[in-house]
Order: sequence, then C-alpha cells, then structure tokens
Amino acid sequence: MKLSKKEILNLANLAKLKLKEEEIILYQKQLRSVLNYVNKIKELKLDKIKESISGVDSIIGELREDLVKDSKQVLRKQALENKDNYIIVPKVLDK
Amino acid sequence: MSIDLRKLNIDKILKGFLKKDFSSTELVKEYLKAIKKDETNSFITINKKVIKEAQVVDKERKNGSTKPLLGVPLAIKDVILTKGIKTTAASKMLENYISSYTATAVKRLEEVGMIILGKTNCDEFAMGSTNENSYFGPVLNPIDKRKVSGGSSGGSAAAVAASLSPVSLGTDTGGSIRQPASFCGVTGLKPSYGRVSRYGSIAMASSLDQIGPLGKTVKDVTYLLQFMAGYDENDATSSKNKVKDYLNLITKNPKKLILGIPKEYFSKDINKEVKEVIEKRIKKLEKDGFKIKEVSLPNTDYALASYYLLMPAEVSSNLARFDGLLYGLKGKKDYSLEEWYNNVRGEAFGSESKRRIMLGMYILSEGYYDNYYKKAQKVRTLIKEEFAKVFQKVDVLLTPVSPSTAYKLNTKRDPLEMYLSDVFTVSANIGGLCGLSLPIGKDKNGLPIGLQLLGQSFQEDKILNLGNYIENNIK
Repeated sequence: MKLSKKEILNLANLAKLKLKEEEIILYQKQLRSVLNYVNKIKELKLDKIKESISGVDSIIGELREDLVKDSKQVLRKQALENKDNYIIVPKVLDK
Repeated sequence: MSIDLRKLNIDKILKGFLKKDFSSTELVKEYLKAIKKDETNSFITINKKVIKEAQVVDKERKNGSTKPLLGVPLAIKDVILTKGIKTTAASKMLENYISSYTATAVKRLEEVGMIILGKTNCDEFAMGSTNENSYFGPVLNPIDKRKVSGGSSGGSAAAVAASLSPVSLGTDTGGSIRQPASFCGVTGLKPSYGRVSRYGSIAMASSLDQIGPLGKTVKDVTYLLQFMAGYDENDATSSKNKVKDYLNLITKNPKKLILGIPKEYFSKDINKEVKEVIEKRIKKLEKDGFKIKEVSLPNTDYALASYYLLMPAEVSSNLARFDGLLYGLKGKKDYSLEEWYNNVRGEAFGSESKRRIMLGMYILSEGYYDNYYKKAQKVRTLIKEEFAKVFQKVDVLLTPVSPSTAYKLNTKRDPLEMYLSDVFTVSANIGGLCGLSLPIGKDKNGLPIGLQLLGQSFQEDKILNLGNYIENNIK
C-alpha cells in the first residue's frame, strides 16, 4: 500500500484538519501500516454476500413522524455569537 | 460516621438506607471525600448539585417513595450527556461544553431514583484502549498505578474498582466497556445493539456504539440494564424487543445452558497466564456439570480487519459536526471559514482522533468506498451468519476479554499493534451481540484477568445468569 504525502494532504484538506509537518510524516507511515492490515479482507470472496448496515437486522421498523421540536434556545446559548436569532459565523463568500 | 465504600454494592446500599445505617446525603458525602483523595484521575467533572439532590432524595424516602434505586449514586462516562453538567468527551474540543439535554439511558436511571456523582474520564471521543488519549490525562489503574486502566471507558472502570462510585455507565464500540472492566477487575456489560437507547451519547461509530453498565457484581450491572433497556422514540436504532425480567432471570438454575469455546480465541498470541486462568475456569464449569462444546469462528481475524474499516469511516462522518460554530472550541475572529475549520479541528482533536478521521476519510473517499466500506459491511454479514450458526449449538461463548492484563503506562505504542489487541471484543459489536466481562482471577503481579461471556442478540439474560453463577462459585 502506497500513500503519498500529496494524498495525506488531500485527506487532511477533506477532513478540515490543519496538520503539522511531523504529523503528516507520522500519519503517512501509520495509515499505510493500518491499510496494509485491513486489506486482508480482500482475501475473502464477497461477490454474492449482501451488506449489513448493523449487527441486528430489521432493527429500524417504521419511522416515527417527523415533528419539529424547538431546540434553538438551548443551542444558541453556547453558539459562537448571537444576533437577532441568528448565529454569526465567519464569512463564507468573498465579494 | 464512616461507611466502608469498598464493601458496598446496590443491594447493600438499599439495605443501608432501609435500616437507616446511612442516608443518601451521608453516602454521597463519603463518595465525594473518596473522589477528592483519588489518585487515579477517574473523574473529569463532579456534579456540583449532588449533595442537594441527595437531600431531596432523602426527603422523598421519608415520604414513602418506592423508586427502586432511590438515592443510589452513579458515575457517567463523559461522552454521555447530562443536562446542565459539562460533557467534554475528554477532548479540548468540548472542554467547556455544557450538555443541553440528558441522555435517555441516564434519564431512565434518574427516574428510578439514581443520582449523578460526576462524569468519568475516558479516551477522547471514546477512542482508545488505554485511556491515554484523554485531553485530561490518563486514568491510572487502581490496582497498580503504574499501569493503564484500559479504555476507552477507563474512568468508569477505575471509579468502580477504587470505590469512588458503586456503579457507572460506559460506552462500548469495540470493547470499551469490557476491556477496562477486565483491566481494573470489575464487571462490565455491553448490551446487544439496540438494547439501550443511545440518544444523548456522543456518537463515535453509529453502527457499533452501545451504552452499558459497570459494577462490582453481576447483579449491579443487571439492575442498571433492567431500568435503562427498551425502545426510545428518540433513537431509531433502539429495539422494540421486549425487555426481559433480567433481575429474576439471573438467579435461574444456569446448568441447562450449553457453553461454547471458540478455538480461534485460544490459538492467538495470548498471554500464558491469562490463558491458564481462563482454561482453569472452564474446566471448573465442566466439573460443575455444564455441557461444553468446542466451536469454530474462522472469520475472527476478518472481523477485526472489517472493524478497522467500519469504525474509522463512521468516526470521520460523526466527528464532522465539530466545527466550532454551534459549540466547542472557537477560532480567531479574523479567520476565513476555511481557516476556522482547519485551525479549530487541527488544534482541538488529539492525535488518535485525527488518525481515525484521516483513515475514515481515506476509506470513504472516491474510488475506495466499494473496495473498503462496502466490503466491510459484507464481512459483517459473514460474521453474523457465523455467530448465528454457532448459537444454534450453544447458548453462551466463553473467551478471554483481552490477550493480556493491563499494560504499562506511557509506553510508546504503534497504533496498529494497539488495534490488534481488540481482537476478542470487536466481533460482538460487529455482530450486534451482548457481552459480559467478568473478573475471574489475577496474574502473578496481582493484575486482574477477565473472562468474556458472549450471547446472541437480546439474550442478556443468559450471559448474566451464567455470570452470576460464576461470580458466586468463584473458588
């Protein structure tokens, strides 16, 4: 399993993680080693096997009705900054 | 007044209240004293209102309340929400986060009278096997403080072992209740997937996570399961399967249970002493008249490999919500949105969290999803089928919890090497089974050794029944 520095940087970008140089080198090595190990599952013949989304089948029965419950008050208290019922976030778009 | 906390379990506490040996307030004060003197770093936050709550409970008792666990103290892993009290997930990200609501499991225990002592230390976002990934420092093993408590529910296990709380709650995604219970010499139960609502438990890997109890006895964990279990409309994965009368069922005659020994769990790199203690215990059960069969679970190694695909993939999705906007660590005012995300997350997550997020990101990224995540979900089907076949022949599987006893603290470890040590516990999460970790002996250094009892989904009654028997016939 090869995993280039460029790939690591791409993953960090996708994951929105600013990494230090030493972290990049370390993760490159460690991720390689873990991926080499998990590649083991490729030894299995799985073409005809169905996927399971969890350990217990049919656990999700009928879904409940989607009701709106207000949780804004509680959440807003800890949010970044509040103004007139809105949460102020860093600028998303440049002019 | 002095109460010997080391000797207490739930039955003894209830008896103490009844006989007026002590009140809830007195008991809570004793626990707080013990926590203050604690050297294991088991707690992150103490519930500041606990004495007041104990006083209210004492009044309720005087007024004839019949709540079954009235006034029994509880410690809770710091990934489970408790309204008005901090829930940090042992992360810098949530260092100052105050829970906005209470988890269903906790709410149900409060409804039967339990009071919260505080929140216990754990690996950051419940990720690790040594509790060394906590932003608040490692938990030391109460049996030997040079050793780790195990993880990720290390504080919950150590708090019970050190008698800082009679019982506690943990979470188990790949062994995080059972392994620290084994390392600290206490009893820990991972209920079946869907048995206990996860509403209010900070999600790690949603197809595997489960809340469960830790205590000094099988009966203590049974008490907690009894009152926590059952469907919750706020958790679509909680099961409508009927909650059994566990407290009665554990005292049944267990000798009709057929016990299975999966040979793959004994041929691994497993510590000699651990193996000997477990095998001796199994021989004793045979002598006691239990029917024991050797069985085979040939895909055990693949279960571990698929765990390290499913889990990080789900972790990377679940931890995406921590962006420092709605809650958690904040960035600098002049950051652009991109800088904000990258800096906040880069700074707030510890190294294990970042490693698993990166790994998950790789597994889910374009072109790899079919090769990895999808395949791992197919392996999950194989594991389930394999267990279903074995559970047609036997009722309970007996295995070690961990290949070794507690490791030394502060030893540099390779992540993969650590991951491989989860080999005996992860299959239960993948297969949705229930599992009990039971202390059954010690190695020559006095470190506890745990026996794992695995049962088919929703057959907690069987593993608890057998566990209760083993505990009461330990010699």
